[in-house]
Amino acid sequence: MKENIIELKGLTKRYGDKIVVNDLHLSIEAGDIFGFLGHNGAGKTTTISMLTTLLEPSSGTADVGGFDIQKDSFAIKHIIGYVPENVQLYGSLSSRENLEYFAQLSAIKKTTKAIEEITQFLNIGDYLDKRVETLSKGMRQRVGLAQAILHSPKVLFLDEPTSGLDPIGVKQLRDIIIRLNTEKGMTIFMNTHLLSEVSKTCKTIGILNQGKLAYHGSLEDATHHFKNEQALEDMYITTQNHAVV
Amino acid sequence: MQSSNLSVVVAKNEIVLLFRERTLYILLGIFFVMAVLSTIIGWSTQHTITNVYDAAVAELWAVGQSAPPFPVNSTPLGIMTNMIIYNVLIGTLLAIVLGYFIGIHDRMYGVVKLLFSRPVSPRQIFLGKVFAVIVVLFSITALALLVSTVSLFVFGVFSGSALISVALFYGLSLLYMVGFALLAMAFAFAFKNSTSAMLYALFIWMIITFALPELSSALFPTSSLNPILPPSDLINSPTLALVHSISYPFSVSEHYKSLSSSILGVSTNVVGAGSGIYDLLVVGLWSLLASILAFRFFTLVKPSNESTYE
Repeated sequence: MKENIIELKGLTKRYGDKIVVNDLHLSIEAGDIFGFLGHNGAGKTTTISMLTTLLEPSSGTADVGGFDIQKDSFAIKHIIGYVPENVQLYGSLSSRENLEYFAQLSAIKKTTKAIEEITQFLNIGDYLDKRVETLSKGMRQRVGLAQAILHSPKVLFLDEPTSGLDPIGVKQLRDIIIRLNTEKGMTIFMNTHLLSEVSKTCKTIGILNQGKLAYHGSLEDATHHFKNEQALEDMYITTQNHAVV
Repeated sequence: MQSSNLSVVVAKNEIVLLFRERTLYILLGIFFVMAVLSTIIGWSTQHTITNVYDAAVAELWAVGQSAPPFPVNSTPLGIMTNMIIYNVLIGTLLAIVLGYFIGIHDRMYGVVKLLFSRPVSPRQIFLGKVFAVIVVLFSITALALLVSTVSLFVFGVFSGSALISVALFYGLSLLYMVGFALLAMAFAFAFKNSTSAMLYALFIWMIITFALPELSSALFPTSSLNPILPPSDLINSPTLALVHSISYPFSVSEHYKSLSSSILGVSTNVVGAGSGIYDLLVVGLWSLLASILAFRFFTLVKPSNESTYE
């Protein structure tokens, strides 16, 4: 059995009286591609923000790669990569300049070599010396992904990675995510509300409903769990109405 | 990587980003043209006044009258007098634009979350930005010093002591401008709305550059007759004296002008100008306060403040 690389124990986030993430318990194994499903406003981005140490939880704890998100935030930043929703980079800089900057911030010693490798892996060589503001959304997304994996993180957090991409862009990105998992051994934690994405990419899923975990298990188990539902879409709708964990 | 190295990485990136802004080039161009023009205008003014005085003296002597003393404090570096005013007006504006851009870059490009997801502390990012401000302003003042030195050669007033005075003047100008750059940076950190950030910085700039000098010196009309020396003791009204004594300690630009004038050995249009150490202290405090404000407001730049979380 593989070790858990992400562990959430009662993770909660409140804004005043509003509970955005409510007592979340979750374990994700190393090497998994985890799809975190939920409607808009369910608390997915808040969860990912706490796991990437960008946001402090109100209560509860979480470990990423064996490090506590509150006590060892610096150590976590060394072992994770993060691509926010609609990733933005310095538009007036070229892709190369952006990558060099983020590589230096990630304390990569051989910056040029790391950029070369990632460029090849993501097939972005033709766009490396173009200003980011001139790139298409799909290409910007790839450069954003490149900055997140330059330092070969153990865990990659993706927040709605295919948001706003055309079908070809979605397929290309999906293939890249699978290759990152199989070829580079990265654990992927992916926020999404697109069911098609989950069914084609993820090994396990979690469904968040109004800040509470409504379902967690493998994609395969889900079909057994929801015997009456015909498709992933039906399961998803069911969990939005009833907590089933 | 060491803490200071990461600050240097941030500073380098900020400087590269800064020089991709067209507005900065326009202001830089204006600043350097002003630096050249200031000495030409200064030389022309001195030359004209001296010629007019000489002609008047000759005429007075011709009719057997004695001539009054030369009314202008004419010194070799008098040709630099205008640069003091240009620094107060254009130099500080340049500093504000520069500080504003360095403060706003991360928000403007929407990279705050990415930046904070990397193993770099907020303190290192802040220091990097301050470092970028100082490096760029230092380079600008160093170039202005070069331009002024060439001008001193051209107008035949170059000497070792003149060069030291002009270098000290630009050193003081750097300190004064850093304050404005950090103030603009502070507002860029504090306000999500970039227009508000710029407007608040310009509002403070107007108070310091125009409002406070109006209360502390411009109440006395002859004080604005630069470079004519004040003919007599101007503080002769108790009300004006009171307004002056209250506003003068806070009038940073007046202290800058007063000390600059002392350094260059030219006449000052600042009423009540006193000790150079006092002037230096006020200008230094101004930059220190601006840096404290910038650091305080930088704590408002957090990924959690950038958007509504879902």
